[in-house]
Amino acid sequence: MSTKSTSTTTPTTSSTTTTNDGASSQALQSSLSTLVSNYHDTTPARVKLIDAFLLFIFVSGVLQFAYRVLITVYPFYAFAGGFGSTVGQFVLLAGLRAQIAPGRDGEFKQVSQER
Amino acid sequence: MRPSAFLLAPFVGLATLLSVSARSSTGDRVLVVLEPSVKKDDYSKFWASLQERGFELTFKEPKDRDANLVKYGETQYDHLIVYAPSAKSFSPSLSPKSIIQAQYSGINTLFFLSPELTESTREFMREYDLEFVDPSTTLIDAFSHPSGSPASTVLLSSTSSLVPNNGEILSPSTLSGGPIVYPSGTVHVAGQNPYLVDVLHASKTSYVGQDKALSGDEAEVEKSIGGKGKEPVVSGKKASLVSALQSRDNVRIGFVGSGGLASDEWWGKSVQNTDGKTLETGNAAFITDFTKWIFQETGVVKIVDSTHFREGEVEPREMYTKKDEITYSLTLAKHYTTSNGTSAWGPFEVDDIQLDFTMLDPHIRTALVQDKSATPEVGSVYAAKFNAPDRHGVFKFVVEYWRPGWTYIRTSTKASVVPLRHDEYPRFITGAWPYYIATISTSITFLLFCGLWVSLAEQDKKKVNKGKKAE
Repeated sequence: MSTKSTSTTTPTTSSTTTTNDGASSQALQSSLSTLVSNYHDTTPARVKLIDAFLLFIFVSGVLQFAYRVLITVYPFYAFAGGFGSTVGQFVLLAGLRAQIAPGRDGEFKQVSQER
Repeated sequence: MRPSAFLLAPFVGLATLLSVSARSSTGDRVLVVLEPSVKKDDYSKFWASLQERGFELTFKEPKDRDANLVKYGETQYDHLIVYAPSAKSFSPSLSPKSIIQAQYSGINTLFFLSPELTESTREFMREYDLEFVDPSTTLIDAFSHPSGSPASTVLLSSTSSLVPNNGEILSPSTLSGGPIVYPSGTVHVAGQNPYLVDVLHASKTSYVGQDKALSGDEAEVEKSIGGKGKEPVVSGKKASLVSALQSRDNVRIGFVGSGGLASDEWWGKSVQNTDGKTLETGNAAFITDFTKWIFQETGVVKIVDSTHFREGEVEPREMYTKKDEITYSLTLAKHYTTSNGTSAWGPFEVDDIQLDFTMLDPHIRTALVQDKSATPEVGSVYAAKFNAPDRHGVFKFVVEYWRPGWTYIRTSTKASVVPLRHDEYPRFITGAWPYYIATISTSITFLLFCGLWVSLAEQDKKKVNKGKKAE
């Protein structure tokens, strides 16, 4: 459904008309709401949990990097520790998510389901 | 530091006990070597002035075999006066070589010279980088000499011929005192030796020449030979008359171009200059000042104490951490003679001492400023405060104060500068709190995640069970 709506909106972006704009924004909104509702309905709770934490860790990492660039990197080891922990946690969680996500059981047969 | 001073210290102590009037900081035994042609009685006032100052004079002749300066490695005298410019031979104990050896052992020497220098003496003087003018030529000044005296008896103005700013070699009263009579003296040119100090030089109108009128025939002969006339004429400031030398060991050596400078003839006498003014000669004051300096009475400075410590501490450390605030302090004392004729040490006040904090090169060079609030037992305290450089290694606190007319002050103390120890780094820096919070929050959220993960698994199972039941 979402793919269909995007394909209809792409040609209209070059010619800007208010009606088209309103239509596309409506289409975007509806597609977004569909995306959210689909995510809400179909995603298992554990994957949602992982996503929530991934989002938190991502934001934390971005904020640290912005602080490093804009304000200070002293002491460097504190930055390396903080930023490294977020990156590591992110990678591990992403890996876990890849295993947990529905339909991936075939790829991880050697891994126990009880994890 | 001065090894000679350490070696002589016990003798100094003994000497002060035996004789109350010893004023030299190193000792009061003087050997006077006079050649037979010099009449001892012509200089009686000079000898008397030395004895009055507490020196014990021993008179010898250049050929005396028992005149040992150093015996079994011990100095037999503290000071030496050599007045034997035309002596052809010396006993082995008084040969130039022995005299130089004795100077290495700490014997101060005063040389009285004259135009009749032998070739061996000239050779000896070249050791000190002094070159003397031709024999039989003297300093002549047709414009300035005491009335009734020949032109070779030069009257030198104390203000223009004496060299000021030479530490304590000459006192201010001598520098502005009466004129100095320089009778039939020789002239020398000082070489590049940096240890030489010019004390008295010739006046503008004086020159080096033969002290006799040449007859017509002689003048013709001189012209035809053409040798002497072409030689560069030494005059004015270039013509040194009295020089001093202080060796690295602070042994002092004086060169007086005219022995007659110290004779009774001009000692405290009044002379009439060519303008007709009657003035008292400055010879007595000059010779007294100069011998005081040569015999280590004036211009002597010693290091009483040197220490260094970290801010808030008092004891010196072997190691300082980089960027530490270090205070270095140096106590210096100047020798002086008390009113009752004893030797004493007092404050030494100057404003140009520097401290170097060096490792191969000086990393910090700063002024040592006198700390007037400090009250040491003796001397003056100089201190400098600085931050240790951000550089690790073995450093030295070096003070080198070399000024003409003063004892060379040289001290060096070793200390290391090390990096912060593992537990000395700053912790919980304000600017790093975002990083700390991020790290801690990641750990806590991980624990939270684990808890939620486990609990969600339980719910999922229930759901799955429910689903199965529903089917």
